[in-house]
Amino acid sequence: MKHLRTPLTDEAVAELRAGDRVAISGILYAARDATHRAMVEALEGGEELPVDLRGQVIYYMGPTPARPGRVLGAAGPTTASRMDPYTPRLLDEGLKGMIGKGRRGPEVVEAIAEHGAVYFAAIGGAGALLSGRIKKAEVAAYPDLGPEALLRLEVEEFPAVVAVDSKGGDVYSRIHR
Amino acid sequence: MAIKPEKLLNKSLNKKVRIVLRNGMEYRGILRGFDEFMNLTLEGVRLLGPEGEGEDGQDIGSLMIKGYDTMLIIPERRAEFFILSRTILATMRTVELQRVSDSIKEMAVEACHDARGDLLEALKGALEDEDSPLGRDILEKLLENAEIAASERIPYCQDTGTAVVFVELGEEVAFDRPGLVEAINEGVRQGYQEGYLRKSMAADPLRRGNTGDNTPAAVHIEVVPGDRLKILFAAKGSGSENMSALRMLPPSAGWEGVKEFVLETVEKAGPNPCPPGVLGVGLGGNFETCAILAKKALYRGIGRRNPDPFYAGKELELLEAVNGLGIGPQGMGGRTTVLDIHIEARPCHIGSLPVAVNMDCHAHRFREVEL
Ligand code: SF4
Repeated sequence: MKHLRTPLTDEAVAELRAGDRVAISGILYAARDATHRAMVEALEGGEELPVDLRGQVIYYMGPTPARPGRVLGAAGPTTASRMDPYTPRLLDEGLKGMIGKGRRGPEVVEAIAEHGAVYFAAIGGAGALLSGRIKKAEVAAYPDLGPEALLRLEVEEFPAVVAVDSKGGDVYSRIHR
Repeated sequence: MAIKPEKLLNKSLNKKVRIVLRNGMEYRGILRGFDEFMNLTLEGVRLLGPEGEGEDGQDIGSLMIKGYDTMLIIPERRAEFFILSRTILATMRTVELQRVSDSIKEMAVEACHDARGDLLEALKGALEDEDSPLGRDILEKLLENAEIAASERIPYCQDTGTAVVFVELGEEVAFDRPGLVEAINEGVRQGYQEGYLRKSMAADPLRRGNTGDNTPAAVHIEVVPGDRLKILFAAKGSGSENMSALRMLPPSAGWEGVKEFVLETVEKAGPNPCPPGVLGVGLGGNFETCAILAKKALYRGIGRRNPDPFYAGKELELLEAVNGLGIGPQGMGGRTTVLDIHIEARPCHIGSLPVAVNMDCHAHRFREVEL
């Protein structure tokens, strides 16, 4: 088990190999489809992103509503490939890591290798367990997107597996195609 | 289209009507007038007695009846239908729709928080058989997730799904009021709101948006003999639903063709449906019934085989083949790709062999209740 702290450094990412188990602590940004669309549209319109993504990690997640007194409800990963069309553009902005579930398309795997970034898989469906590793959550941008607003999360020992490493190694392609 | 009551009464003016009062007494007479309170004046009235016993009745001349006391006003030409339907009603079991809403609400909240016993047993069994260290680690975390969900009341998974409801409606069941589908949706609405579940229904497939309360549910109503009312509920996530598939095979493809299609579907899905889950396989029927069969198959308990030994054998054969693919927990390798496979078959056209694979994930939120 490797312990990582965000923002991620190039050195830390370079050491990771597909299949490694990791525990991540620090800040994650939670974003799903609409959030990605908003960020990429901002960039295409010549605007700045609402947060500096350099070294940061995006978690593909849309939680259930929090019960009173809780930080978040269930908070497991959503299917990563839906963000594939937006990912290379965000990697250009310095995004270093992503957490989701499932395979990435070949263009994204290539872009990850090109930028020396990393894609982690969290356990799909383990929403209750992962919720417990999120200690704080606040809206960072796009409050108008409601449940798809960009969230800033503070996590401790968030468990994941390296799915695509900075050399383009892919845990899923090693198992079967 | 709604027809105003005044309009209906106007139509019956100066015609024979049958009146049923709240106390059960029935009268027949000619409707001469009414007002906004549904107070009625009648002429040539005959008192038919409770439940219309004395068909000819007793002549009581003219009468005014207070609207408040009236339960039914039936045009005479419809009365025979009324009498007929009352006989049927007498043999029916009445269920309050409120109970339908309440049970849906309870099942939604429970399904999303409390993993079913058979699922937990299957996960524990898989943990014993799994050789891949990563796979074992994932299975352990899934069991831990189930425990946290139940004890801390956090949904097991954040995608609390589309509500899928099958109603097995006995022919001898009547509801206390109209609106079965609305009662189902009301239960979904309340369950998802009060249970802090995610509202995941886009209002339109292309224009998207959100309906805001997780309705409408996907409702399938089957009329069955008897006076039983069974309601089956599922919270079905999109991760696994999106990887489901249907194919119209030629009959010559046979079992080998079916098997190949199932394996191909599971392989293509890889990690996306959050393995290890359960497969529902529909065989036969036609294009739409095949898909419904596959969905319905998912409600069967894990470890329970098709009662037909032929298909029970096919289920085990398929289970072995699918778990031999090596996809494993979360698609990261291992022998636990599915926890069970349920096949449901039905007759089909001589020229068809439809097969549908409905994939489900380890959240496997299926419930049922009899009212
Ligand atoms: S596929 Fe199932 S377990 Fe996975 S995220 Fe969707 S609902 Fe949850």
